[in-house]
Amino acid sequence: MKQKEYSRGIKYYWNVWRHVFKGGLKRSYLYKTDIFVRILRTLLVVGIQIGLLNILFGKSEVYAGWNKSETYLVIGIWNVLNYLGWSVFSTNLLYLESKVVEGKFDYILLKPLSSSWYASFSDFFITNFITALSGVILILYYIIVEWGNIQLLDVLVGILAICVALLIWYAIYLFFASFTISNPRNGILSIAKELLGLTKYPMDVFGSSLGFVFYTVIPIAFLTTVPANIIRGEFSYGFVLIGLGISVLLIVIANLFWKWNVKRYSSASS
Amino acid sequence: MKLNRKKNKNGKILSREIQMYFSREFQYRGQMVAWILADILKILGLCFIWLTSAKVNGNVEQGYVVTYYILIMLVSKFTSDYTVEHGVRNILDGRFSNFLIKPFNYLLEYLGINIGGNVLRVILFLPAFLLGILIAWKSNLWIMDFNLPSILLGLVAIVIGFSISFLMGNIIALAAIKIKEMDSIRIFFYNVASLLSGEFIPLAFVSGVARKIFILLPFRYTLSFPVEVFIGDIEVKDMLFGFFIGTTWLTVLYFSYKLIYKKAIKRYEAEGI
Repeated sequence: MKQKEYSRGIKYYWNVWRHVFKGGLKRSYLYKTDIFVRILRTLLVVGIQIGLLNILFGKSEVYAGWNKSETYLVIGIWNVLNYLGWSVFSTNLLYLESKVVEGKFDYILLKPLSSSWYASFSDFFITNFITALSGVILILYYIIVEWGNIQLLDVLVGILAICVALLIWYAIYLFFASFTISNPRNGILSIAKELLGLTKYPMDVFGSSLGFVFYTVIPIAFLTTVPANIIRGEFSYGFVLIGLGISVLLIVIANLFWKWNVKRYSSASS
Repeated sequence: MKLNRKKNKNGKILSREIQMYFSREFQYRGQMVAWILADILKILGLCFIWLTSAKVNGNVEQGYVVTYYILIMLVSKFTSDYTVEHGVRNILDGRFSNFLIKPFNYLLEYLGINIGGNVLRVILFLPAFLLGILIAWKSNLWIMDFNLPSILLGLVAIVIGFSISFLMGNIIALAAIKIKEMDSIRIFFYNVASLLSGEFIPLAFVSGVARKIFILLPFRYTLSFPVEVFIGDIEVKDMLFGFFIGTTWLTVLYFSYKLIYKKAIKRYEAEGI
């Protein structure tokens, strides 16, 4: 199917998303038990991660070249990216499959805005946003503990690197999800999920050869390890620019594959 | 005589359900392969993480970690339960009514779906499993002896583990009769199960009170315990105690399910129809 191209400004998309966001907030009032369980889960997530790291470290002070608070920082960044992603776009892209199977994807194509954008951002899930706070808690913990040893500028540039990482995260999800359009029920998104799950720990864990792959061929090191290293003051700010270049490239590739898959889409309802 | 006939009938229904699941899911073989690849990716990641920990602390053999995670991948295919996914959906969509009016217990159909799914995954995973063993063997990281008693006991532990998973899944699914937004509960359950089953943290790395909690809760018996029995690195008294705890949980969960079902079904409103 060939989709008509629409060119809308950022303001237009922002206004649409504002309405989506408000809708997501209103829905949260309906399911109070869900919100309660999510808050409980946030605490559980932090508890599990801290417990897990304590066991990983054992009696040692350093794990793969990282001390305990630095590892909290990596996991904190991962939590922010993962759960923020789930609240803003990942869940929407996960539901894309059922939309394609039920023929509802036609409605997305008929909307007067970019189909990849609408398929990614058509709903907002406040419950995942709550869980993302667990990441903020861990990052803040690192900053407080290491306050004397880190530079404010490094922290600010590190936050910028986290924003860039969110773009890469989105591009990877969009790329994998796009194949659902032409070939639903392919399970490919679960590979993306696990691939991104590897970034929960510093890339140094995987040794030098795999680590090299994760910085170049599959650049998932730019998701958590690079921002954490910038905040630690170990990496230069140039890595943010490299990350930005990678994110732009990946978004372009993901959109190209999206369009290619849309062309191969045949509506289930027609 | 009557009991035997009933057992035969149930056996036939179960086997038909498994066949139906096979034919349905075989249309989406690609999806199964992708899920297995995702699983391998996840377990490889965990393997690297714990290998690094074993190197740093020197408290657990590296061969144990590799063997443990290769076996975890296989055992998880046997003991997985999908009722928390489809059982919840059936209740929320009102399709659960279709299962209730059939002339046999709906659990039989759910059991068929689970066994079918697990067998299919085991078959698709087998080449990767054998390759994993070969690589670990060549690298001197495979520590399991293939002795018959360990394998037989491991299989018994798998049956207990699957039954525990199945009953827990069905109990959680029944909550959908009361609670309509089940996503968070489902994910919460998965988080707790992954943590306490030994998937995230091998029991060998846990000590003190946490170890006791691991041993006493039912989750270990759905994954870690069968693997420990297969590896054979467990004392006889600990193994017997493990079987005792696993069987006790199985009994407790069975009666809990019966009780919860009896109460929950009265509240079922078949919405969506």
